[in-house]
Amino acid sequence: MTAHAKRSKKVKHSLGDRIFSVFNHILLGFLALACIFPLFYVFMYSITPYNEYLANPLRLFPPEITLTAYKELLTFPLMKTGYFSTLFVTVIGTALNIFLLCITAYPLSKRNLKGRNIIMALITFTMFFNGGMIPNYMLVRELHLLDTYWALIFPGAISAYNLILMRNFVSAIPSSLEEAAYIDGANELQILGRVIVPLCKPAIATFTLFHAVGHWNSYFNATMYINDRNKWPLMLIVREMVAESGTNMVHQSATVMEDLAQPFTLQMAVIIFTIIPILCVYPFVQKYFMQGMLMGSVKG
Amino acid sequence: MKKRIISLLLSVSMLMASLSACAPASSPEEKAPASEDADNSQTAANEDAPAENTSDVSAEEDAAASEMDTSPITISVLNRVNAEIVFDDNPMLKAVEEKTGVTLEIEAPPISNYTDRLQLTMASGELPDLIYTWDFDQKYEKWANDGLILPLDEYIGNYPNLMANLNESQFNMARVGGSDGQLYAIPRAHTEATWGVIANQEWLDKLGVSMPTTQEEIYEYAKLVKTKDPDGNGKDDTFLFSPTGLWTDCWLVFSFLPFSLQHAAPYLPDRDGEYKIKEKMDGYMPYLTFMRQLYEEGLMDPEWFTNKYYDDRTKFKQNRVALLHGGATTITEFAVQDVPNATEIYKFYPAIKGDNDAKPRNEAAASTWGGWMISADVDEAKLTRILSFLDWANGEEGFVTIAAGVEGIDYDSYDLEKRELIVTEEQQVNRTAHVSGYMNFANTYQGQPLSLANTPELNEYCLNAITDYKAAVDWIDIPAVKCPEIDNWASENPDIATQKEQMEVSYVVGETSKEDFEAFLNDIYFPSVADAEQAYIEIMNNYK
Repeated sequence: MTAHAKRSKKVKHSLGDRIFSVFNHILLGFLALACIFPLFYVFMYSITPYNEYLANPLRLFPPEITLTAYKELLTFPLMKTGYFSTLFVTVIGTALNIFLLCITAYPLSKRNLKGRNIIMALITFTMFFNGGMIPNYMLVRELHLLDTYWALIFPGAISAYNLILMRNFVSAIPSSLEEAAYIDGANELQILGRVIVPLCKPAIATFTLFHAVGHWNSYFNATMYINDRNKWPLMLIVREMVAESGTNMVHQSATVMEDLAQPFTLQMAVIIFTIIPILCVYPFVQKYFMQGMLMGSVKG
Repeated sequence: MKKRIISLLLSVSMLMASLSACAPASSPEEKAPASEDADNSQTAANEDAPAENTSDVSAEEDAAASEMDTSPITISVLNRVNAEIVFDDNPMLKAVEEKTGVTLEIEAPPISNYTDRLQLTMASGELPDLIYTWDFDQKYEKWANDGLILPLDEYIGNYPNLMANLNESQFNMARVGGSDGQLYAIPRAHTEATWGVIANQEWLDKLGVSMPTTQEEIYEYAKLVKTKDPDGNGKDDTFLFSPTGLWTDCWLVFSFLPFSLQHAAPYLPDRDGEYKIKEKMDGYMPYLTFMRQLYEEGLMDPEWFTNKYYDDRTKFKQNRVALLHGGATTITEFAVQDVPNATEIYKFYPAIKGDNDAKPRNEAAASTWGGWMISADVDEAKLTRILSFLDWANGEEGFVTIAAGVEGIDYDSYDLEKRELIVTEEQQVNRTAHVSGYMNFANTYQGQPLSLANTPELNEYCLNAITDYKAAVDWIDIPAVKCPEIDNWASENPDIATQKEQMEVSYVVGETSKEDFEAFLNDIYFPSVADAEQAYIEIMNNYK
């Protein structure tokens, strides 16, 4: 396209439009700042010596920088195994979540599926009621899943709420596409894999993000089902650190006490530490996420 | 046909998936209770003073040790252990096995969720042999009453180390239904508290005064600290103290009324000898009024209410306040941590005296750090081995082995008499992975912890501080009596309890008048707590 053509397509804005646009930019800029500020504040205090924080809690930029809290986080003995555990559970767990979501939502979107309503009712039931902590623990124990990663993956492998959203999303796909594929000789699995799943990319990306974040941040199941410290996920280890730092027993070793961060600074560092992965992933799935936000809400 | 098979397969997989969905879809993090707030270290143990229990049990120990069955046995344990501890190939655990024949199979959930896990285990019906409980509370009593754990009274007399290392008050803490009840746990012996105050001695010297010992002297000293610029920065920015709550600084509370936590009863009589709830004690309003005066005149840190855990310590170390609530080992902790010359610039003093007190008070409950319950599922033979093991762990050899680790690996040398543990830097790293206050089966032996500080000099300083302290104070034992009505009142009446807390703070910061505060107490608080108060007074009078 030539420069001339570009110029000719340029829309002329009236003064009122421009003022409105400037006002909008300023307003949205402030809103963006309001969203970013807490993160900025948390980051600044994660690198501020606690003495300086106490001396002036409202200071925005630290007079000196300390990375003690991050050093403490990264050198904690269980950190390596924690990373492995969390990555394993996040990758495998999310993959399983998405697989089960697709393979369940697709048939449930079929109106001619026998017993569809009963199955949906059973699934919906689990949204509101569950066995409770103790029966769940006993179930996991009887299945010999205690102290295995699967105890962190299988329970809740399907989210009933997400399944309903996904089913609605799949239902919205014109059936003529499936029929065309069927006429071309595709079977149900092929239709699912080659037609439905590609069309569900926005939904899948959104659910992937949801599940991955859920697995990344999850620690409670590990507190119940995992005894082996080498299988503790990262968030549990971080939580232990914060819990212990509230006491004066982060380490027995008195010689390293001076290297310890104050609980407050450590908490700030933990917040940054835990949101970094999501901050890294989010830009790549944002375009799908925006589309997926409305999924299932409009049908037709 | 093919389509049907595929449909069938999809339906089956969907059904399986829906069954899987029966588990909670979202993890119940929100339900996770707040982590237990505990002062949980061997270092913390050092904050306290040794008890008077100095009975010589070595002969009995030798006899017991010679009779000890050391055939191999595995004891499963549910314990609250910090994350740094490594169980695989742990030299300390191997040493325990070599000496006793006992292989400890330790199940150690995260300490921050230990209470959840303990309840889960107790409810699930499959109990480990030995179970650690942090509290001897209602749940503990319920487990005992439900027959989940064993009563131990008839056995403990056979174990000399247990009888020697734990006193009657400590045992009473673990009795169900008060001191007359049955014992369902072997308490984990802990050091007794030495409540006092750490003073910035340099400021006292600079201002030309000695440590205040009465309320009037404290008030005068507070004015000096405020106006005479003891830190020399040219600003009136120094204060007497910066408490982390209204009832945390017992060095001051002791001079007005028996110390108690926010909603707990003191289990001690008032100065007139009568048992009362805290809010009816003679010193209650005068204490709050004294605090109000300090606040009003800007003599205490105006930001005290926003203090988080240990902020008072940080402000003290920053030379912003003159006094700090602490124990006999607080200064040596500072010396180890971040104030190398702490022993030169700070000094530990007892609490200040009440108007009619001859000596400063130290009110201390029997010191236990939870205790060990034994599953009702263990048979008689195993029960004997478990109790023998606990007996060994409360004796000299067991105590040192478990708390200190293995000589050469975890420490260089140990002198039990001086409680002096010499550790190299490399050994210190090993110790972090091998031993911990959480792993101990007893935190004290003959009333004292493994060590008081990590160098001989600091150790000696600490011992002297404790000796001086004990000579200076009137030591008051808080009896191991339980009154569930008063103990549980706050949790059963959270609205009024919270309102009272807010009213106290509001009164101290001058937002509520004395008349309004008293009206709240008379019209709302006292009627609400009346039944619990009556039960408490009856129990205490019967105890008396």
